[in-house]
Amino acid sequence: MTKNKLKVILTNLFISSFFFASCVNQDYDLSKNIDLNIHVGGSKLALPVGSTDSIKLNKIIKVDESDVLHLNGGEYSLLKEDVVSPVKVSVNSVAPINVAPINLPIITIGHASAYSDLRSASGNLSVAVPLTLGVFELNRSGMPAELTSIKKIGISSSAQVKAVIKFNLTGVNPSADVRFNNLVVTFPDFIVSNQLNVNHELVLNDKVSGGLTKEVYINGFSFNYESGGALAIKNQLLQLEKNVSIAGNIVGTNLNASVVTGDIKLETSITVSPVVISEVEGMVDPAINVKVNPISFSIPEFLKDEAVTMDVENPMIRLTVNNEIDIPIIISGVLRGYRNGVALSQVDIKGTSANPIRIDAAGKSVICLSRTGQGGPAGCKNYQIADLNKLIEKIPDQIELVLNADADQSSTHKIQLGKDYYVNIDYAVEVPFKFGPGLSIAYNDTIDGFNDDIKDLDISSLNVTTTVENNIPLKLQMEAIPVGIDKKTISGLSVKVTGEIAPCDNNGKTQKSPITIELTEASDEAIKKLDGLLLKVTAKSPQTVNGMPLKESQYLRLTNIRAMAIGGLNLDLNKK
Amino acid sequence: MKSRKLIVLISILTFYSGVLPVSISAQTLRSSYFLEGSTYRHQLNPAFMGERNYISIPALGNINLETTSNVGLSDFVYKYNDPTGKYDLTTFMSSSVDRTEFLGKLKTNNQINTNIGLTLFSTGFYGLGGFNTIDVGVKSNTSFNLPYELFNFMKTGMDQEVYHIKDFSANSNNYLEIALGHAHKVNDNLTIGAKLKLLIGATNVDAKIDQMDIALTGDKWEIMANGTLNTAIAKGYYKTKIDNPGEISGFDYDSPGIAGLGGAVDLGITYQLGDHLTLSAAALDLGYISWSKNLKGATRNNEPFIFDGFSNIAIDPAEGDPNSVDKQFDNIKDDLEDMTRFYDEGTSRRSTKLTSTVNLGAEYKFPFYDRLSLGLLATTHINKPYTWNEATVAASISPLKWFDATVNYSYSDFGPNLGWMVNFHPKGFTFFVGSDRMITEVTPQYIPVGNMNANLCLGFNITFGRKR
Repeated sequence: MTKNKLKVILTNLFISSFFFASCVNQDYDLSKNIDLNIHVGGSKLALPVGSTDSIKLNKIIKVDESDVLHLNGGEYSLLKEDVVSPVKVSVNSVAPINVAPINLPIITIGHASAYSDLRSASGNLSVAVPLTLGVFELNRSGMPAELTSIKKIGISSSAQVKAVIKFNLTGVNPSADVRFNNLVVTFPDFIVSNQLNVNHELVLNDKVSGGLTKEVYINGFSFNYESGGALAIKNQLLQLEKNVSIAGNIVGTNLNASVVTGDIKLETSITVSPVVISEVEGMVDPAINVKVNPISFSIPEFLKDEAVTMDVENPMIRLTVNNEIDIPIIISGVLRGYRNGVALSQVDIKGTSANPIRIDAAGKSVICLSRTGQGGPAGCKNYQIADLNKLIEKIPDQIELVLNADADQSSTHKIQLGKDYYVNIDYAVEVPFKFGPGLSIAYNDTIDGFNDDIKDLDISSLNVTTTVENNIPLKLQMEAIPVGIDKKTISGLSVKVTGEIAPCDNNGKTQKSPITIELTEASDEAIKKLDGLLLKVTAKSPQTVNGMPLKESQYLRLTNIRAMAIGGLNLDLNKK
Repeated sequence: MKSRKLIVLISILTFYSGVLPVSISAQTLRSSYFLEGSTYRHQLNPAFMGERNYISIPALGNINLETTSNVGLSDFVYKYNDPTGKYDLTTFMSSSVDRTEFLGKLKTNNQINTNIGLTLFSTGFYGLGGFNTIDVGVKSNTSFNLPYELFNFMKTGMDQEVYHIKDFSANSNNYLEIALGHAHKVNDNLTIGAKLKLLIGATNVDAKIDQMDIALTGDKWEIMANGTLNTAIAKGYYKTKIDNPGEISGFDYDSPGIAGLGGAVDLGITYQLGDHLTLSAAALDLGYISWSKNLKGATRNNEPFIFDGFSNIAIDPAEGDPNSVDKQFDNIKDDLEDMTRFYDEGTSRRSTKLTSTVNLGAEYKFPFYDRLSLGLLATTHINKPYTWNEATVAASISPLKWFDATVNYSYSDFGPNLGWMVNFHPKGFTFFVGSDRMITEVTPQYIPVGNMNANLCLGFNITFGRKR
């Protein structure tokens, strides 16, 4: 190789090296779309989410969303109050009782021919009036059927009843001085008059010569001397006959023959004005027809589920009765629960024979029917209906209350005949949220609307852990079902909730419970379809918190919330 | 949209922001080091003497553009076998890109440098017992450093709990250089040379996140970051926000001027060992610039940003509820933004050292053909954290009296490079063109696929006097 050849070769080599410089790599054509899916977090992406504010029960159970949810001093209850149409009670009036005139047999005091035999030397006279009887008849048919016996009859003050007793002494000149000496007129024992003494007697010492009329005002009739202390009314017939009698002495002073005109005789008659009965005391059994319209209400959402079983410590039906009648009323009845027209339950309402459910006469009574027989407001009468919870074990949307009301027949009472009485009843069905061990509330709710936020996230598994602080007296278990935008369950995506939320302790203090929620894809991109979670929360009442009230101030609080995307997070930025 | 921009920014655009001026000192082609006919060899070693006297054509005497990086497009953008067939490429953040593969390509400090050197005027002439040079030129150097740990954090995520990200920085230095040089042949074997440089500073910007500590656990995210921002520009000032006094929103200047003054020296030596071997050494740009009015800026993070979750999240918030997630999220965004806010810390004088370069060379001329030589050049570029080293082997040939050329292969912190140069130097003028860093593979958009090491240098000069 010559020097010149070497020169040429080397020179060409140097120059040509300039041209092998750049070559175009079509694989890196940046004019084409570049995939902007990015993966962050490595094999996991953990986010400390933090803690929530206290989620008070009043944010979950909102009283304004139901017509029966109620707060009483901050404690939840179901309450339905209403008024029963006034119950009219009356006993018809009866026609006045006409007492037949009473004519006692004529008593012959002495014959004119024997006058001298009667008279003393000084001209004075003293003759015994023998016991002479007449019949006082009370007789009235068509008495009200509600009256079974009468203890007393009251007489209207506007229609005074008086018995007019007339004495006529014949055979003696009216100017003569002849008078009764302790003549006793004895009336039947059922006559009540202020003018009679305790023995129903009117004692007369009046001048009788020339005739004597006495009026006795009858205040009423009292039959407590009758068998059983009352006059039985049978076949609506009031019938009673009793004697009226007179007995005593007649005395004369300074009598002489000129004043004796014939045989001396005493004629006695009694007439009684018609008796208008205004009031009756006795055994009265008027018809009391209470009609309670069906009690309808909308069931709060969280109690609607078929799986809800209520075990309420002391549900209560409170009846506030204003009873105008002076008759205690004994009530009993049946409560029936319905949902969607289907009968769910039936509970009998009745007291015991020793302690019937009794509405006081002539006044206001508060009757509390409850599961425990305790807990009504001050002054109320508590009655235990032990199986009352059955009525609400499945919450009905309609309750039928059939009330049977009867006048108390264990004692006598007064009633004015012909007067309309009313029994006014207010009722309240109250279910305080204090639960027993049988409680099981299945509450369904959906939290949704997060598809917009996660549709571009590619996560295969998401774990959320938290510690739940709970001072609600309910143990809570949660299930979650993933749903898409169409609200249908997403196949290929499972949600597992581990752990249960313990209730508050037996002092009402907060307890903490760890909870884990795992979302796991079984098929690709299932999480991207997620729009919400259908939550099924089951609430139970363990023994430690039985009977503790549910309060609006009680709360749940999620603390130490952490979210971890297992496998990291893929973000699709191509769509932005 | 922000995240999309971020990814694109990090993956591509930021990487190619190399049009900005930078930090390695732009001299001239290192490929010319062993070409005796090259006019501007004295910029690589002041002991090198010219072939003839010369004077540059103003602004065209020596134009040098260079970018270097130790990472490239292919480190951040990957071929993608998209099951949908829609995409051919994806970014390093894709789950399809293996973490080990991606991180394995990165260096502790991933640098992107851009240099512009423009000789406005230069002349060289023999006299005073040696070869004298006068240079007036503009130098602009800009560097970015993206630490490995930043990408490790992005890619590894929570598989690692703690990250210490250091030296996340950007630096730009721009100045005018006036240099007077003299090379003197001490004897037949030894030549020495030196240059004195007057440096007139135009702008200097140094932004740095000194350290960012990130600790991520499921319980807590903790970030502590502090940084500084120094800007030197004549009659410059930071613009600050009205609603947050002191927070820097930008900067401006009233009129251009001299921001700083400085000086430097270049020292060089060559020694011919025997007939065929020449050894040489040079230390360049030993000096500094003092910036008279340096605008200081710094973050004010005394405590770490800690996110351990939202507090008392309101479940059913009213409008404006401070406990709502939206409100708390806004607060966190504000806190995070606070971490990155720089505040005006006043002004001061500041000195910056020049990026110094050390060249060590050895050239062997083949006895059988003394116009062919093999050279070895070791270069160290000292500028923490942008320091880099390079070793070059060059074959040079001067087949004609008026033409010579060289090809070289170098390996540096930026990877392997192929360089070349052709130099025409007949009597009366010189023209040269070459590159120390040839782009071997580009995208259809002419963007380098590999490390963005590219360089082009050319110049026209008038020569006069006899050839030495």
